[in-house]
This record gives sequence, structure tokens and C-alpha cells, in this order.
Amino acid sequence: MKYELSKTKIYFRTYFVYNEEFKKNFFINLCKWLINELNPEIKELNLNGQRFFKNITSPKINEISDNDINRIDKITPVIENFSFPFIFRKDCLEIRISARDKNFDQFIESNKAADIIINRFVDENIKSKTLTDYWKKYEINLRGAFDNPLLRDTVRAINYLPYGEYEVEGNINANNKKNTISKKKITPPEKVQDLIKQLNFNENTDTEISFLNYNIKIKQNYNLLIFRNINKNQIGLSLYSDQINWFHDLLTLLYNNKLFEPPLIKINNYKTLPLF
Amino acid sequence: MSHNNIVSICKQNAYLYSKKICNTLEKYNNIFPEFFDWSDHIAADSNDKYTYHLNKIVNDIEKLIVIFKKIIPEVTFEDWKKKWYYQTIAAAWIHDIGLLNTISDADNAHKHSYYSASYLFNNKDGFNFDSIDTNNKIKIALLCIKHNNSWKDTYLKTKTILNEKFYKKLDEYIGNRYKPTNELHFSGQLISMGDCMRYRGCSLKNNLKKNFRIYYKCDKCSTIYSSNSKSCCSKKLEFKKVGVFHSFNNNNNINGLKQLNNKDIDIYKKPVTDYQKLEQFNPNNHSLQNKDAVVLVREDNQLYTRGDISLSNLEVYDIESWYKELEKNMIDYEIIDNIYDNNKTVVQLTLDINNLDAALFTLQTYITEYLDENICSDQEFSDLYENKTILYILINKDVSFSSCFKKIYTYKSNYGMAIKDAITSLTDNFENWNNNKNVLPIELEANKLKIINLEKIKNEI
Repeated sequence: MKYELSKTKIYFRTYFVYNEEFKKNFFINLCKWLINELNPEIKELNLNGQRFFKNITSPKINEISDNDINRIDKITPVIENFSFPFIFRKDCLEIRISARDKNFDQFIESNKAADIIINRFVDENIKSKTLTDYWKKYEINLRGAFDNPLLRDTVRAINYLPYGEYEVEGNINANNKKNTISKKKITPPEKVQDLIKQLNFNENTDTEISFLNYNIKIKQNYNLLIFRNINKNQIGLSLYSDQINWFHDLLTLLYNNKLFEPPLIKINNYKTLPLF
Repeated sequence: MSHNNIVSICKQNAYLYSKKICNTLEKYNNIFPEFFDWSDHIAADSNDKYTYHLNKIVNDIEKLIVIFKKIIPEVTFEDWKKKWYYQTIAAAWIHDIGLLNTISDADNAHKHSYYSASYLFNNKDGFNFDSIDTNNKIKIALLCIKHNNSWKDTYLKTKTILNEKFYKKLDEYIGNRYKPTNELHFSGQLISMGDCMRYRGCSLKNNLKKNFRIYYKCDKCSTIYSSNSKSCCSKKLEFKKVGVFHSFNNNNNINGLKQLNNKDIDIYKKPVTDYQKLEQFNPNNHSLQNKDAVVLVREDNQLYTRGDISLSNLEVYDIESWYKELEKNMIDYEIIDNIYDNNKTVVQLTLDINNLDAALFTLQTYITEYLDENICSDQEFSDLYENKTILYILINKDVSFSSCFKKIYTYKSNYGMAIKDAITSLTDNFENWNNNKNVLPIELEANKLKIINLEKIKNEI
């Protein structure tokens, strides 16, 4: 099975908490930070909100009215001829990096650049404003088609395992036939164990494994890995984490095992994030 | 106390609220506060008063439960039903009662869910929830606040209402990083789903004689038109949206989804000469019994209004009954049946061909958000069920969404930039669904279902 990395995006999100009174200053400062400090190429911002849209340029930031600020939920910087992968939402900053037109090293490099922006944002806009409650989340969702039935078998195999040995919860049969087994204590099947070992999960720490409708979900703190059944020929793999290193380790492991296809094209003059 | 009692207490309070809201609206002489939904206006005119919406949300939740019962494992479902079913229905009755506090204050209208929850604990304004015990009150309060808030805000706002000794109880329901328990998450989905189906105009159009119309004003000569693609006095056309028109004439026999026939459209193309009347429009002189009411509701930078939202119609089906419906209409659904074996629900969205820009904005913000939050199963978030949804976008039998897309893209309006932005964000959503959320957007073309490839359409333009 090969995963189509070149068709996916990686999402870097930072969630944070602020109160209503703080909102006004926060938005104005954020707009100023985006235009003046983050990158000189950013000249305009798109402001979206509750049934509201406005496009502003740098000198007009101070003209944003209170009424407008109450309605803004989303800020997107605009750069000419480049779709800037940066969206600021009410409670979250999101950066999306596409794997298209990059080779693997360039992809990882872009990810690191995105992580640096996230850290800059946290340092300059959140920490300094004594907003302590924030956390990061990185996410990638891959899709893969089968040429080797191994994994599919692993997933299907759950159906044929002796009753009472596995922690199985949910409709076993996908075709709406109800065949429910309640929670039982278990060890995962051998092939899944192999897989987990390969995927570098540390067995000594608490690892939760659960199965639901052909899905396998493995959780360790805030690191989460889900194999999900997409359709008859495809299995999806989603990774969630709050640590960039864990994330990159896993991607590198998949890459080294030649699990990505088509191979990422090496582009010499690819445009990187225009950040620094 | 029995669980049924919780529902009946909340129902009584909801009826009390319904009476009060009608009196308050009269007092403020404001039958059209902007944040109120069109369906409410229509309901407020009938004998049901405001309980129309409340009845509907409760009914919709019951319908959704039937659909989701097939998806959720039986044991888990029974467990949920024991702990959360009555609380969800109770919350559905009283989720809006806080509007009494915000009726004259449109800026704070979004806080009404918070006020609804606080009524549970302070018994103000004649409401009485004394005989509900605190555990159930906390559950109902959480759901009331959730109906228009994220889980994070729900947690923080509920905390401000509660006494400190109940914080522990609250933490049981919403854990680390504001993640709710599976059961609470499902109840929250039900209540916001039910509420969404209302203001998206579900079944609403059946009560309406004609579609909503958006009016445009020529900047030069101030003539009002019902379309902005006409030529006018000046060669350089500058039209400005000025209002949303609707004929408040209940007629249950006419199917609202039926497109206007050509004759009707011709009538609408004529300029509205009686502009004076429009300008001097005063809600006090136009009671809902009057046939036509033109309401000026759009502000600067405002993309669409609640009235525009009702231009689209949203319904949820389970896949089997939807297949049956397609078979009845002789539509070929082979493509879905062949590729996907795990689809369980269908969201059918009907857009209004006459107001494509408003429909696009609604789709881009409200509908995509709704799908992400409520219909999709988020494996990372909740283990309760797995759901793959088909988003069936319907315009009419002869026009497909893809062909309309070009029309929207080349649409010259005051919102060119906004439309570009909306399309980018919609493409992102479609891409994300394709990889992650398992939403499959499809359309109807020549009596055959087709998967929408937004990327391809975008490249063609």
C-alpha cells in the first residue's frame, strides 16, 4: 500500500483562550503584527466574520470600527501570486503546508518553517499578553490504495478473532447488520503489534488501542494515530500530535519504508514560505 | 424525580417564554429584529406563536435520533439514552429563552444561550426550574450554551454560572483541552443540528408563497430592480443591494422549492417604480398580515442576512431511505454504490438559483461548518459512531452545481473579492473532506449522480 503524500496538506494549529474584553486590542495588534512584522510581502488582509467581509490595507488598520471587530472571526493575509497558507480564526491559528511540488526534505523544511512561525506567534502575541492557556496540534490525513492486502487483512482479521479476547466496540459488520460486542480486555493481533512496533510507539508508556468499524486507533498522550477504512480500496492514515519531532519521525519512517506514492517530485526552484 | 418531569418542566417554561417574547416584541415595536430568523417571523404570526420553532427542533431531534440509532452501536446508544436523552429534549425546549434579555440588544444576541442557561439557576423573570436537581441542571445548561458555541466557550461560560462546588461535576463532562465526553458530544451535535436545520429554512419554504427576493438599487437614478444584471439609465452600471423582499402570505398548498416559472420572472424584472413606499417602509405599518413586506436589513460589508440563508434548504436522511427516493425519481446512483460501502447519512442541500452569491456564502460558512461540527464523525474527537456523509448539492433538475460554479465565479457584484475568498475556502474544505472527514460532495447531472471535483472546475475557469 502506498500513501499519496503529494496530494495532502499538513495542518499546524495553535489553540488559545482569550476573553471578550481582550478581543479588540488583540485583533488590532494581530493585524499590525501580520502586516508590519511577520512579513513585508503581506500588504492586505481579508477579514471575514458573521455574514461580513472586508479587505483592508496596511494604513487602514486603525480605521476598523468596534462594530467590525465584534464581527470578525477570521483573518487571512493576502500576498500577490502566492496563496499564503495562514488563517487566523477566533480561537486558533492555522498554517497549512502542501506537499505538492516539493521533495520530502523540502517538505520537512517547510514544516519546520511553519513551526517557527507558530512559535513566534505564541511568543509575541500570546505569551507576552499573559494568555497562558494555549496548546498546539499538528495534523495530517493521508489516503492510500491497496496493492498489498496485508493491512486490509489485518483490519478484516478483527472479525475472525476468538470472541472475548479483543477490545472490540461497535458494529462489526459494515453493512448495517448489528453484531455488537461489548468491551473486553485484550491483546492486539500480531500484525497490529508489528505495525505498532514499526511505527515507533514506545510500549512502556500508556498506549490505548481501540477498534471501531475497521478502524484502528492508537493513542499515547496527545499523539494519536488512526487507520481508517475509507472505501472498498482505500485505507486512510491520520496522525495527530502536539510535538513536531514525533510527527516528523513518523513521516520519515513512512518515507523510509517507501510508503509514499507517487514519489515526491524534486523541484529545484520551489517557492518556500516567504517568511524571513 | 422521573426524567419525563424534566422535559415537562422545561416545556412549561418554554410556553411561558413564548408568551413573553411576543409581548416584548410588541413593546419594542420591532417585529423584525435582524438576528431573529425568518421562520420565527412567520411562526409568530400563527396561533402557535413562537413555539413553532421549539416544537420543530424537538421533532427534528427525534428524527435525527432515529437516523443515528442505526449508526451507533446498540449498547452505547442505550447508555446514552439513559444518561442524556431527556436532558437533550429539555434543553431543546429552553435553549432560546435567553433571547428575552437580548431582544433590544442585537450586538449581544449571540449571548442568549448563556442567559438561557443562567435562568435555570436563578429563576428570574417568572421562570421556575426549582424541581430539577442540580446534576440535570448542569447537563441542560451545557447543552443550552453549546447550541451556538464551541466546546471551549461552553465550558468557560458554564463555569461562570455554576457554584464552585460543582466544578468537579463539570470537569467530568468536559475534560482536558475542552474535550467533551462522547455522550455529551453527541447530545451537543443533536441540539445544534436541530437548530441549524431550522434556520437553514428546512421545510420553511412550504409555508411560503414565493421565494425571497433581493433588491438592487441603481446608484445613479435610484430605481430599484430585482436583478443586478439589467441595463439602466447610465452606461456604467452600479447596483447596490438594498433589501430583501418577502411576501408573508401563508399558503400550504404551494411547494416552495418549485422554481418560479418564466412568467413570474418577467414580472420581477420590471423596475419597482413605487420606490417612495420602499423608502418610507415602517415595520409598524406593515403587520405580518399584510401580504408584502419589504425589509431593509443589509448593512455595509454585510454579505447576506438570515433571510438569504433561508434561500437554501437543508435536510438530513439516512442512506437507505434516500436511495429509495432516488429510485422513485429514476436517478442513477450507481457511482456512489460502487465506490463507497460505508456511507450512512445524506445531507441534501438545495440552493436557490436566483441568488447564487448569497447561496455560495451560506454554503461556504454555515453549511461547511455545520457538516464539520455535527454530521461528520471526528475519529479524533469522539468514538461514539463512524459516519460518512454524502453532501448532495441540488440546484434544479436542469442545472448542475458545477455549471453554476462558473456562473458564480464570473458574477460581477460588489463582493468580487469576497466571492474569490469564498471559493478558495470552499475548495480547501472539499479537499479536507476528501482526505479526512469523509464527506462526499455530489451533484445531479442529466439524471445521474456525479462526484463534484472542485479542483478540476477551478482549473477550467
